[in-house]
Amino acid sequence: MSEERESTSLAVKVSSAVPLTKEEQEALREKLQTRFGQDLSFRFEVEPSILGGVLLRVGDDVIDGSVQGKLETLRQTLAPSR
Amino acid sequence: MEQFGLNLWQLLWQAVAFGLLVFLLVNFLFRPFLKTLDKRSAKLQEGFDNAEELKQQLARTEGEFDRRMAEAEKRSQAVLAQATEIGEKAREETLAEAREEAARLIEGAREEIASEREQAMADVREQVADLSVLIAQQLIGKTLDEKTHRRLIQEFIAEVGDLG
Repeated sequence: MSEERESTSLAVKVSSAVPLTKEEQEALREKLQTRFGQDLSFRFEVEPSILGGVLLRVGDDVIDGSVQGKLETLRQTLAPSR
Repeated sequence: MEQFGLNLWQLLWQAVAFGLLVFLLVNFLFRPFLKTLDKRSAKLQEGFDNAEELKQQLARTEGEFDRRMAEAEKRSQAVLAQATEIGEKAREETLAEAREEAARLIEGAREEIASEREQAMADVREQVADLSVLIAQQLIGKTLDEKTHRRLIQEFIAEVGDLG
């Protein structure tokens, strides 16, 4: 599941463990357009390895709202040396 | 004089004979004898003088000997004291070095033990963390239902909007 726009626009990759519904995709587009205020190029992907939630990559930025990301944070808290 | 039965020539002759006898006795008996006595006396005196000189020389030699012995004793005491001081100093330096080495070794051993302990604790923490995450991944992978997925996604969408 993916969607491409102009190459000059800011690339947004949206990863989720299960496919986002159309309503969820639209809601996310709206939120991100408001937040970044420029033309965005969305690509939606299913990544079961993130277990749940959403992993967002906007250009070079990463906004991790995935369950795997939370588990990784938990692991870093338990074992900060690695 | 003849009235008294004395013959003048005989008297003169006896007087000359007596004088000659005295002359001979004095010159050939008493004077050599006195000379011999003087020589012996001088030799005795010389002997006494030599003995006295030897006695004084002996006293001086004894004094010099005592002085040198005292000096040698003093020097030997000084050398002994210096040797003792050097020995004591060397002993203290050796002891101090040994103590420092021992302290260094103990400190090194402590640091090594602490480091190994810390490493072991870190390894255990990592293993616990990895195992916990693995178990959580397996549990979550099995237990997350559709409803929960939808809720997590919607919460994320809401949070993304709030972050701006």
